[in-house]
Amino acid sequence: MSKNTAHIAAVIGASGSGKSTYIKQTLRRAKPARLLIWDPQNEYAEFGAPVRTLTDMHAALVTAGKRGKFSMVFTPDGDPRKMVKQFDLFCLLAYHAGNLTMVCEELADVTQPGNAPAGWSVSTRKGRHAGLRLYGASQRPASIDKHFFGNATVIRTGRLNFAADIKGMANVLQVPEDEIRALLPLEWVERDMQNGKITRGKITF
Amino acid sequence: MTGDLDNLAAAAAAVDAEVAPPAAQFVAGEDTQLEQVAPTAEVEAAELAAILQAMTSLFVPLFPSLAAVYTPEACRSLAAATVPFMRKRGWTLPGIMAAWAEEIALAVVAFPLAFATWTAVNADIAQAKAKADKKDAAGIDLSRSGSSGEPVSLPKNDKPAIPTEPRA
Repeated sequence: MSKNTAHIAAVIGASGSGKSTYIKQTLRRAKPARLLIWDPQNEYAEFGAPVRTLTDMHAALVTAGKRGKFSMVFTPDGDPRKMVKQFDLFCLLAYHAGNLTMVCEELADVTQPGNAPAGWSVSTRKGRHAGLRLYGASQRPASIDKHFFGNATVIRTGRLNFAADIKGMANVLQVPEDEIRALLPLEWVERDMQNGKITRGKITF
Repeated sequence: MTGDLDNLAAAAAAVDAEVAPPAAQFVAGEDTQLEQVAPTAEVEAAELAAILQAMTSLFVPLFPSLAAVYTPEACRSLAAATVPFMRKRGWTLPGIMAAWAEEIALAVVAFPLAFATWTAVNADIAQAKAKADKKDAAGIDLSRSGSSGEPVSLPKNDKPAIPTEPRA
């Protein structure tokens, strides 16, 4: 992986649309040597060792250094205010550790349309220089950090439930709203933001 | 960038400290999530009484009289009265033990050492004083024998040996 080749994927979709399935299939296929997962729903246990504290995560990253392998799954506290602080530092640790794949689920819990924690912001803006390969997922695109879409190299959406989300994603992907509205579970539309190419498909098992 | 990562240790510890401990306990190697049950007042009082008795047994070698004061019954009574007060203040025994564990461990080790040090130093001082007193007493005898230049007052009963002329 070239350090300066960005891969920042925004994966959007309502619950049951297949976004987590897509990310998991990607991880199983890619088998990243260095993996950090922000897992508020506790659904990625198979992909790494559970980490309960950021101190433990920090210690593991320091031990691994720049080349060591690791797979860690961090499940944050349920309190929204504390969760944002944890997410901020989680992202900072990932950014400074560098050269890794980072998955962040439920971005709407920890970012807002006009605001994002500094760690997340630096990861999405400068992550390519640190060798980050980033997957950010959310059920509600209208509720998350808008700059994330601006920095994403790939944006994918599955079925959405809310009109504001459908309209927003149609605008981001530059496809008709009706196409987004008509998506069935596991169907997706994806835009490569670097060349504008649109692809469509359905997740299979 | 590794240096930057090193510098985040304190930040990680600070955020961890802000986050309350998980509401549930997990048993290693099992998927089962166990419900954490808050101890009843009776259980907490029994635990506190046990701690008081343990502390008493620690200090009895230093202060033997404490054994008669902090009897098991007295410890139980004190604990039973303390727990409602702690609950009114929002304090819990596990919380206190978790928050002050290091200080308590330090006190358990340091207090007996400090007491032993105080006792030993006092004994040394007393011994040195006794030795000095003995030396002072010895100094008086020497002056009386004329081998010392220090003026020494003579005991009241002593009379100067004045040579007298034989009467004519």
